[in-house]
Amino acid sequence: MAESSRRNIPTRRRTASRSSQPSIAPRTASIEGWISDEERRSEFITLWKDKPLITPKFIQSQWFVNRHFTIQKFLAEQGVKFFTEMQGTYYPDLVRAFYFNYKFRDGVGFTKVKGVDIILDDDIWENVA
Amino acid sequence: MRRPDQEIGRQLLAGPLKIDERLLHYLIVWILCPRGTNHAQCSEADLMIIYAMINHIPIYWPSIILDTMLKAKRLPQYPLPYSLLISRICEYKGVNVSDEQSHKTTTTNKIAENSLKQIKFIPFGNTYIHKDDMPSSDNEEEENPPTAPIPPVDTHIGSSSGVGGSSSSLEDHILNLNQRLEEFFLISTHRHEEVTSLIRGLDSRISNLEHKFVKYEDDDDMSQDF
Repeated sequence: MAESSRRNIPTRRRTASRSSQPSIAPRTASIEGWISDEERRSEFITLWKDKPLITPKFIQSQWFVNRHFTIQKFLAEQGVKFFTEMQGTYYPDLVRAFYFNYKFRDGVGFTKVKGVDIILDDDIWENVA
Repeated sequence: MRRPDQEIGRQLLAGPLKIDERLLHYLIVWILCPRGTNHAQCSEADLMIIYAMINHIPIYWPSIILDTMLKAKRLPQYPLPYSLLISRICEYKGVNVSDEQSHKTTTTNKIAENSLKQIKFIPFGNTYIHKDDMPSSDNEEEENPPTAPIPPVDTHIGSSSGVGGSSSSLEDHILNLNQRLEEFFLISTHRHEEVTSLIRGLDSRISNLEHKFVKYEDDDDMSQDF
């Protein structure tokens, strides 16, 4: 019980629906099971819900090529050209949930977003970045 | 580096870096290892990354990214980096994003003219140069009182006091110019030595690091055996 409820990812909708309940009720019902969840959820609400994101930035290599910069050569060599050119849609709440659940153990980073386990392994780096 | 002496205590600023290095540093602090503040500060890690990039040493980026993520997670003041990367990872892993609040990058997120202006790069012909390297009118060179000793540090900020040298004859003037040229030459050699010694220092530090890494890898192999 404790384990499964802790694994729940506090996304906005869930926290919103829960906060409408009287906050004391679940604690009296089952102290063991709820406290950590409650703590974690309130931690998310107070510390993480509005945590600022770093403004994402990107480059367009061609712009720099046209202006005789040589950095794109270094970026391509390092395999981060695509990464630096990344742009488009991003989801602030998912990013917050990602970091909220982020753990790092034995050189591997892993997290869970909306119930989906994510392990930051080579598969990710090869296919996403 | 353009001005190796521009150092505040142990903190190195990115301002005096050469143009490509400065730009690489900008990309490091905004895209590769994003941070919320101190974008002008150049850490030792930044220097090592720049060094590796310029010297074609392959960097294992995932570990740098994981490190930055961990830092963001641990430090409460750290704003969250890699929004785009993480959103792509979530999509790749099949997280349902259809009902999520989303933002889109626009041209304001693009590193182009405005960003370069911010780090004092100015357009010059069809490329960019640093503001300080702009070939300005020669008044700063000529109008300096020739007798004034040139401090080895601030050569560019020549005090243009305007009156000095107006009474001296042309020959004197030329002589003085020669003298100044010599002094400049000495300063630049001095600087060159400083820069090379700095690079040497970095070089040895990196080779030490590499040495350590090799050791770590060996250790890893052993632990896998067990």
